[in-house]
Parts: sequence; structure tokens; C-alpha cells
Amino acid sequence: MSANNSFGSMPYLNQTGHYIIKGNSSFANVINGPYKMLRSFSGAVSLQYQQAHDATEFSTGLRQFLNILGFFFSGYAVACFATAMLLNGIAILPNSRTRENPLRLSAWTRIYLHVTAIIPMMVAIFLLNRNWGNQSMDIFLLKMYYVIIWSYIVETVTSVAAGQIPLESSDYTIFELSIQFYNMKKLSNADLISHEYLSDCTVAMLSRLLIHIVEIFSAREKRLIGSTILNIGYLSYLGKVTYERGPFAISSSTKFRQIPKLFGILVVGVSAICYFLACLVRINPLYLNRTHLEDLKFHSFMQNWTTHVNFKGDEDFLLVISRLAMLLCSGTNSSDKAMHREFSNVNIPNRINTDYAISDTLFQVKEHRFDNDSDPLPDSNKYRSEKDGNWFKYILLHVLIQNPWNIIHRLIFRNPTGVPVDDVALGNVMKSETDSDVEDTVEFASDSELDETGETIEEDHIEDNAYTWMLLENDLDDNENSSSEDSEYIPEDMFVEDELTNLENKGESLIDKEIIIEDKPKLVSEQYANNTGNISLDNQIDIIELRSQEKDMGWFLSLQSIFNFHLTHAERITRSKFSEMKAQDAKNNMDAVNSDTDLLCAVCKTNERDIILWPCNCFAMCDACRISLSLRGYDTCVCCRRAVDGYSKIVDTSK
Amino acid sequence: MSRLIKEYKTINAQDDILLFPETADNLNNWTAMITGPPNTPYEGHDFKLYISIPDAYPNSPPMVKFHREAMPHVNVNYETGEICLDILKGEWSPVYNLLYTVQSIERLLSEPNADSPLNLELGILMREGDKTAYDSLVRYYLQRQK
Repeated sequence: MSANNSFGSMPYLNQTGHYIIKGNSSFANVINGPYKMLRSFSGAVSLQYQQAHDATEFSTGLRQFLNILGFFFSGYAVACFATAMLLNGIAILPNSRTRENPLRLSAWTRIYLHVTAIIPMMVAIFLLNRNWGNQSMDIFLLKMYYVIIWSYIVETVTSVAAGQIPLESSDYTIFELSIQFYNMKKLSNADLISHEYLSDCTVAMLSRLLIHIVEIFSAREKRLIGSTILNIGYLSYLGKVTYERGPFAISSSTKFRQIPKLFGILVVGVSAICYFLACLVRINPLYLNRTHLEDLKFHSFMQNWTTHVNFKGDEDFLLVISRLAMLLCSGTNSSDKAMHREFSNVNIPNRINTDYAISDTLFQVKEHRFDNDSDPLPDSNKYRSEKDGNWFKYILLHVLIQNPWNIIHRLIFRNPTGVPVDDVALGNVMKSETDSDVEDTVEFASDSELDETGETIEEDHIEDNAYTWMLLENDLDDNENSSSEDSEYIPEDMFVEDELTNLENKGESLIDKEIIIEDKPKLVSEQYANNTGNISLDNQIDIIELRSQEKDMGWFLSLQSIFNFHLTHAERITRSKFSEMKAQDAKNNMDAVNSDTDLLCAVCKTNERDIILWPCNCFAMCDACRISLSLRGYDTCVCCRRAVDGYSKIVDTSK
Repeated sequence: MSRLIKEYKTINAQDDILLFPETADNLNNWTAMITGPPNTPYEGHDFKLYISIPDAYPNSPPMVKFHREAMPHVNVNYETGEICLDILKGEWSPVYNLLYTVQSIERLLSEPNADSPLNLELGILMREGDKTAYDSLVRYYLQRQK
């Protein structure tokens, strides 16, 4: 019997009364022993089952599953999803229409809307702290939730109407709040609702309230201050609670939410202390001006941390503190890798394709125009004699580059008197290939003519014009064509009557003038280097030399289209006409480029290139390769090996 | 890998290049024939290159070797055939391809670099500026193989 007592709560262990074979023989023990053990085991199982069945109907796992499922069917979840969809709809509203914003709210409507959000919110906060734990919590919580949803809607509508991004509190999203409210509702049903949720709820509503107040006074940039005060206050309140009642007085969801903030503050605090100590060590009290704080590694970061963090003031505390902590944690990495460079200011590429900015190229000319105005008239014969041998080269080059048809075409148009110049000129060109001496003489003839015309031009009229050499060029052509007024390369807005009239009636017709101009660059620049050349040529030399310095034959070829236009259409070429003409050209150019060098990524040869690297401006990679290379630690450009600061991604908007 | 296939197609389209995979079904091992450039002791000789492509190609460079004991050159280890060339090491860029690599090695034959010698014997001769001895030694090596 004493054995029976000692088993107590485990009666199944007592199987002394059960046996198969009576007696105390060893055989009976062999049989009865395992029998009793089996009985105890089955007894234990059935008892366990009985207890479990009595205590709960479902296992805890199933219960949790049903709990989660219950959330999705609760009013909170439905309200949360409906609100999210509504907010999304409002947010994309301006994008889906034309550029005109369909939502326009007057200032008073805006303030009124915010007030409608603020008043219920304040009432809710007040009642929340008074009614906490009352029996009607269930209904009250739902009402409170609707107040918060209304606050979200108001904020989104007003921000979208003002073309701004709605302010959100990143620590209390609408989804998180819905879960929290659902949990609170469950607790309130079971009369277990505790004060640990109260503080969280109040802070969430206070942060919403802050957003509305900031919006009413249009002082978004002050939000961070309010948010910081609120968060620091709440954290110190939680610290007090933890100190007084132990760490378990705070609900786990609250802890979960506050740890990132706490950690961020810790990181920032430690870094600040370290920096301060480092500064302290360097300070020499006798020579305060010799502290050289800029030698500290983090000096520049600390000086510019506001720009590094890149905040505008309308973020909330969590966002800013986590960003700052992240920058600090990346440490030395941040100086090597592009981590914090992502935040730095954008560098503007310093080179543009001159092909697409014709006015720019011409304006450059302005600065160099008449540097040598004061030069004495040099004798043109001098450089001729020096450069005789080179003529052949340039003429040949010209013939090779120039489309022969263009030459014929030009010659026909050049010859209003009907003299068969094209034959002569063609002959010249032909001869130039065989007999450079003959060519020389022909070219010299035109050269000297050029000189005369150049000398007659008054520089005063040209000086003010950025298109100097175009005018000069034009003027010569006009005289040949006798269609002078209609052929100036001046943009509409720079058209000056005086200059035109001054430029008319000068010079004689020049055969192959253009050929000279176009063929001359290198030659002329050499001549120019000898400080020779007359004034009219000088102008061109100036310009040509500018270009030819950079072996820029392409520039002359790009002007080809202007000459052609001028020759084929008897009208003035204006900027708009030029750009029209150029558009087709550019397209052809692109087609040509596309056909011989593909725009596929140079690394994988699969994707299209869409990354421009800085500062080298190399355009050779796709984004996928950029990522894979950066993961492998490449920090130089694949083409030119310059160190990479950043990149631009090109998006094809035409598709 | 698709990049390698593209390269294969490009190379295949040109007939004047002696660069081909060892077996048609495996693009990871290639061989190339380069001819000794004129006016160098290598003139008149052909050299075989063994190229093996790592998995990370083109992000890491291909591994290129001469046949062992076949290439007397300042930047080539005579015993193993290993090549010392910047673009095969740290200066590799994913933009380069096999053809460029082979051409670079071809250029290396006419422009040996005494600053990073793998063949010390030749490297010393070259640093001393003894061109005659250098050329003769190279010729001797090449002659011996025949």
C-alpha cells in the first residue's frame, strides 16, 4: 500500500495487482515482468491522452494556425487591405493621367481635412488612456483603428494633391497596426488586456498626430525634430519601465520595434564618443590653431554627415538613425566601395558630343576668333612655298573622303554663268592625283582670290558674331551664287541685318573654295604655326586650327551637311532647319553604328548596354555585368581602367 | 558561357585565325597557333598555345600556356610554358576576348619585357643589353628542338 501512495499522480506505474501466472516462481516473473511493463506503458499513454483531451480541444500548433487565419478574416485585416489598395490607387492617380494633376485641393480644404483627422485622433488618445481595460474595449479598438485609417487617407490625399510623397511612420505601418489591434482585441475578449500595449498604441497615434500637425503648418522639414523627441521620450519611458519592473514588463512586439532604434542610437553614440575622444587627444591647449583635426580619418565624414545621410527633415527618426548607423558601420569600406558615394552629389559629364550641339561648337570659336588681328599682313607666298609638297596629300585625302557626287553637284550649282566649270574643276581634281604641280597652281589661284576677299571684310561686323567663319564662308559662296540674302547660316534669333548687308558684294566667285577649306586643316595649322597667313585666311586658320589640333577631321565632315544643304537648297539655313536635317543624319549615323558595332554589353555580349560609368563616361556595360563585376571587387572601368566613382543607368523611354 | 559561344562563332567566321577549341563539343579548352613575328629570332617558327577557360570567364582571365620546353622567351617559363603577361593576371578586363589575348601574346614575342622575367637566363642577357647573345641563345634553343 505504501507503494501505491508513492506512485501518486502516476498510478499506471503500479501494476502489482495484475499478472498472468500466479505464484512467485522464476518462470512467473519472466512472464509477468514484461506484461506489467506493457500495461504501465499503455496506461501512461491513455492517461496522457485523457489529460490532453480534458485541457484543450486542439493542439497549440493548430490553435496558432487558426489564430492567424482568424486575423485574415477579422475586420482589421479587411480594413487594412482595403485601405492599402485605396491608398495605392490615390498615390498612382497623378501618374495614370496626363501631366496635369487631377487632384487639386485648396489650402483651406487641406487644413480642414487634417483637422478632421487630428480631432478624432486626439479624442482617441484621450479615451484610450482613460478607458483602457474596460469591457467595451472591443468596439472601441475598432473605432480607433478607423481613426488611424482615416488619418492615412487624409495624409495621402493631401500629399498627392500637392505633388508630394505622403509621410509615413516607418515603425508603425498600417499592417503592423492591424495585427496589433487584432491581438489586443483577442486579449480584451479574454479580459487579459495589459498596459504593455497601451504605450505602443499611444506612440503610434502620436506619431500620426505629429504628421498631421506638421502638414497643417506646411513644415515637413520639422518632422524629424518632433519624431526624434517622441522616440527618445518613448525609449526613455521604456527604459524606466524596464528598470522598475524588469525586462518582461514590455511586450515582445514593442521590444522588437525598439531594438533597431536603440541599436542605431548606440552605434551613433559610440562613434560620436570615439570621434570626440580622438579630437580631444589632438587638441593642443597652447596652440589651438594647430590641432589639424582634418587629419582624422572620419573628419570629413563628421563635417558632412548631414549631406551623407541625405535627409530633408521629413523622414522619421527610425529612418535617419538607421541610415546614419549603417554609414558608420560600413567604416573603411565606405571609403573604398561605392557605398556612401551613392549618396553624394551627381557629377555632370564634362564632355558632350559636339555633333549634337552645333551652336556650342560654334560658340567656342568666338573666344579664339581674332586673336591675331593685330598681326601684320604676312606674305602668303612664304607658306605656299613651304607647303607645296603637301598639297597633293590633302587633295588626295579629300578625293578619297569626299563623295565624288557631292563635288560634281557642288560644281554644277556653283556655276551660274554656264561655263563648264565642272569639267575644269574635275580636271583639277583628277590632275591633282597625277600631277601635284599643276594642282598647286590652280589652288594658288583660288587662294589668292580668297585673300582678297578676306581683306575686304571688315572685322567689326564679324566680331560680334559667333558664327564668324560660317559667315565668312557664306559670303564667299554667296557671291558665286548671286543668291546672297538667302544663304546665311544664322539662327533666327541672331540674325542681324547690318552684318549681312556688309558682307554682301564682296569677293569674286571661287571655284572649289570649299575644297580648300575642307582640305586644309592640317596644312593650315602648320602654316599657322609658322605665324604666317593673311587676315582672311587667319580667321579660318584660327578656327580650323582649333579643330585640327585634335585631329578632328570629323568636325569638317560634320559640316559637310551644311554645305550640301546650302548648295542644294537656295535658302537660308536656320537652326530649326539644321536640326531637322541633323535628325535624319543622326539617325543614319546611329544606324551605321548599330550595323558595325553592336550595342551589346562588351562583357557578356548578351544584354544591351545601359550603364555609363563615371568619371570616365565609358558606355560599354549592362547592369547585370556591372553588378557581377562589382561583387567581384572590380573598381576600375573595364574599358579605360579609370577608377569608377559611380554610374548612370540609361533607360530607353521609346519602348 | 554564352559569351564564349559568341566568340566561337566570331572566330569561326574568320578563316585566317588559327584559334580553335580542342574538341568541338567542349569550349573550355582551346589551342592556338601563332607564328614568330618577322625580324625576331622566332621568325619561321610556329608556336602552339594551350588555352583553358575558367568557369568565371570573362570575369577572370583565360589560362594560357605554351607547350613545355618549347618557348625560349624572357616572359615565359621554359620548363612549364607559363606566360607572364599583365593582361593574363591582374590587368585582365572582361572586355578582352580570346582573340585579343592571343594577339597580345603574339605581340609579346616581338616586345619582350625584361622587367618581369620568368626565364632568368634570357632576362639577364636582355638587361645587359646584349642583343646578339640574346638572339643567338633563343635561336639555339629553337634549333635544338628541331
